[in-house]
Amino acid sequence: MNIIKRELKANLKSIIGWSIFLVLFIAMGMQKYEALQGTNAEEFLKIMDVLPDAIKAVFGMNVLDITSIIGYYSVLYLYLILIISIHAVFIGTNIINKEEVDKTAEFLFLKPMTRHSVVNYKLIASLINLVILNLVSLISSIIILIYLENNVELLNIFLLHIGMFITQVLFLSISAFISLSTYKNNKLTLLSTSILLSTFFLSMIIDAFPEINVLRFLTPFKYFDAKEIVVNQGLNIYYVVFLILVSYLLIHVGKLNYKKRDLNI
Amino acid sequence: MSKKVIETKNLTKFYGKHRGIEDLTLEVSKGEIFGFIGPNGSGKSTTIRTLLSLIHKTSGEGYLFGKDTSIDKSVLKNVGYVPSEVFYYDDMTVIELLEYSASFYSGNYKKRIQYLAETMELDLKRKINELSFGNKKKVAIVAALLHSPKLLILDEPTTGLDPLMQKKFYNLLKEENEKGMTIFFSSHVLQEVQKICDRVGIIKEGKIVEISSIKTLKEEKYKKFIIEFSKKVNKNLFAIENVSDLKIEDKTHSFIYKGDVNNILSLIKEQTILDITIEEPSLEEIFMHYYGNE
Repeated sequence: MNIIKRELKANLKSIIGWSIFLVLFIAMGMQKYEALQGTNAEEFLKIMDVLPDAIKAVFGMNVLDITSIIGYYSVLYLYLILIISIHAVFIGTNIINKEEVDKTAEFLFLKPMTRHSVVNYKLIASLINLVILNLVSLISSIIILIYLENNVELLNIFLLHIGMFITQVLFLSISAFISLSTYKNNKLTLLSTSILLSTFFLSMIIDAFPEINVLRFLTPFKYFDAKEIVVNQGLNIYYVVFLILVSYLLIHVGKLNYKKRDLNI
Repeated sequence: MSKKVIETKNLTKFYGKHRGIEDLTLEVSKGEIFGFIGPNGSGKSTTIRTLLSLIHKTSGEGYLFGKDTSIDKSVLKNVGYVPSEVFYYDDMTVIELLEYSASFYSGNYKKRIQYLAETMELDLKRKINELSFGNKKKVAIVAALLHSPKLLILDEPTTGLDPLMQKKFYNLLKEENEKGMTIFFSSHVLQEVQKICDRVGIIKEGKIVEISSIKTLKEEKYKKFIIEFSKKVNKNLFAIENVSDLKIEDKTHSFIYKGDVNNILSLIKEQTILDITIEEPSLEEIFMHYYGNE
């Protein structure tokens, strides 16, 4: 418990900063939706019509009505999930890396506690951080969307955030796996962020070129595609189970690697 | 519980191809103050970190209280450690850090923290990032002692402490040792080891070269020779085994020799000698015997 408390306290400023940024991002993003209403919507659609089909597909405009509030929110969600995944990557990378970079690992790992337990407590603290940010996004999205339009299908927002949470957990697991398994830790954040951005761009390329749709399994961003969640009004349960399993395996193997390796002190 | 608090058998650690320690065998008994001495890079910290399983051994065995810390972490309840370099969480105050440290052990250590902080003249309210290196070292000493461990491992503990504080620290160690605490004192400064240790292990290039009591080390047949000849003699005259720290200044040769003094006397019997002094070398000079010109 003491490690969880310590981690939550150490991350307090960071989570407040991320939360403020997220609320502002949603508010400012959705503010543009207000401007789209009425005659502006027709003008906007005319402009959008000129765009190549590939670009429209990236934003889901081929399947969603972007002038509807949920259609518009789905476009915003694309960036929301990217931002929140970057946070998960930072948290996952720092889980152990920070102790080694700041040289506090020697202090912590001489306590009568296994490395396994230390990692578990740190993971619990990290998950609490993910839940907080997810809830901030969910609650602020609901409030802002209801403020803009009374008739909002809240189920969609919930489903999108469940998908978002599983994606967060997956990125936390990927970056924690790298952090736990790697002795040289000066470029871990760069490596984890590169994985995140490349999979994000891959998801966009897949949208633009449906013929390479088979690659969708390589990018976490395609498992909970906003367009599909909104259109189908549901999450693919197989994807949910698969990603939870992958996350568990990454953490499990990461912990085994961590037990075997020397601490970088 | 085993009477051997620390025990290593052929403990070896390689960092890739680089030697850390090799075939290191030593024992430290309950209640002993054991000095572990060697120059920087000789493998002192590697030995400690391997014993504490911060890094993993390449081969051999290492036990604290008869247990391998890579398998049984519970043994660390009885261990306190002062590292050579001190790094803590900068966002904490001293008292927050010490309470965090204490939270890993069962019991209430508030009074003990107060006592140790007063002894070491440590301001508990200050932020860690405001502390000098010496004050951080004091935090490390309090953190290592607050749970009254049965074994205290010190790695260059006095660096950063002024002489007055060093004295208080030695007194604190003696006080804890009298209560039964075993102390493993690693240092490259012989004088401080000499002050408080019962036995000393000398490590050179990752290998133990001597384990002896301080008393025996001084009583062994080490002799310091200072010989002034009437004329310059062959500079290789004393280039024999067990001669170290050889210095030649004009017609005067000085060196440390371990062995039968007659061997030296037979070397000089055909020379005309103006003056000869054979004396007990200082511990520092004995130490140099093991390290040559390092």
